[in-house]
Amino acid sequence: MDAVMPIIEEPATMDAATPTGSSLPTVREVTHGLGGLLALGTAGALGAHGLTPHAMPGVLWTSAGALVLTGPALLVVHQFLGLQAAPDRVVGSMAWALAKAGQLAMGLVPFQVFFSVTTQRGPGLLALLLCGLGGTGLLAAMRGLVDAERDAGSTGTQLMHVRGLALAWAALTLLVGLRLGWEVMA
Amino acid sequence: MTLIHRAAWLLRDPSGLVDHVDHDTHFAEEAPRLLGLLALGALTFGAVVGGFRGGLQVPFAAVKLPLLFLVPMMLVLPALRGLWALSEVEVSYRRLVTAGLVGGARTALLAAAAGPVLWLLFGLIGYHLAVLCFVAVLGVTGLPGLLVVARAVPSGGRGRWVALAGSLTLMAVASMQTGWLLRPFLVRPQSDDIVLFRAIEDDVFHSLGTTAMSSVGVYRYDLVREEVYEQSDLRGTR
Repeated sequence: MDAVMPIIEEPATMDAATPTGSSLPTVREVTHGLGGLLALGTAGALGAHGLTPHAMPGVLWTSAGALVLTGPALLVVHQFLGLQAAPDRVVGSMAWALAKAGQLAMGLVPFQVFFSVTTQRGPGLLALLLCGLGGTGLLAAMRGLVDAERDAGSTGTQLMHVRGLALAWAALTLLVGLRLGWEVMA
Repeated sequence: MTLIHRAAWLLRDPSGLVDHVDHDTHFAEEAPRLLGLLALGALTFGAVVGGFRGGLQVPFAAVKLPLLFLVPMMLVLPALRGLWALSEVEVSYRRLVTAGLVGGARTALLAAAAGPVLWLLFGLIGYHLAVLCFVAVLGVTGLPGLLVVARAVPSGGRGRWVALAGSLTLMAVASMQTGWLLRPFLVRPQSDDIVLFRAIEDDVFHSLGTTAMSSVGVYRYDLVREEVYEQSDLRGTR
């Protein structure tokens, strides 16, 4: 019997919108995301303003650190409130947000290097980019949380609860991230 | 003839051209043509801008203008992909590069078409107004190019406005700093100081701050003089 070779198709030209957060990202995707955060920090640490080694792990420490510190709290309160989504979907929402934010961070590396080399404003720009990364990443995570709840067949009240929970968790993560960032940069 | 057909296509139906070029067999063939059209348009526009001073500034500005179109695009394309991915829209690098090339070439051709108007204006207005006109032409012709990139992104996803606003902000900031690094494009007619590039001093944000202060009547040398007076006052009181 002849072996049938699987046909690996090229991605479509017009890539369709692909919803994420439906499951956990692969280890490779998360590692790529963490690598992006580390690379952005390294790009911000070098440049015309001189070497600032403490900024190198700063982005990774601030983003991933804030998620690690507040993620368990989200899981606990989520279960405590009796919401429908499975815990792995909740973890998946956070992991996807981290992976996607890391991908964006990797994309921002040339932009950051350009400004670090040609201006004295490297650290300032890095702080701004970090705020943007945090904001967009948290928005993605919040959307993932609400989606997970909706997919699990939650009632209207539960959906309202998860929206409130997501908002409160995002605010907490932002504050923890700011505190971590302040400690790294100070 | 092929170039003329491509120019007509990218001006009439840029989205159709993006779909055509974003294909395995077409990309390698069409990308150099689009790059050629971009360079041609930008060179023409640059020569007109350099013509404000004339002489060696004409080739200098003509050579630098294509870089002003290409460098910001290269810097922000990877970030754009990440931004759209966060909005749950997966778009390939090839499609983004294609859209960037089509958008850039469209802008360059439109800017070249605005060249004669700008050249006429240069004969009537002073240096500061000429700089404003140059920036205005770039802004007006840049918008159709940016729209090509925005429309090339597949539909769907959520929070598209975040990705769109982020893309525009990154593109604008990168273009501003690139323009600052590549200056001067316009040189005062009476100036003898013609150089290809000026030394890196401060950055575009500092320059914008100084210009904003100047526009309300506070000039840099006023600030320096005030500081000197304050220091001499202090010495006098001692």
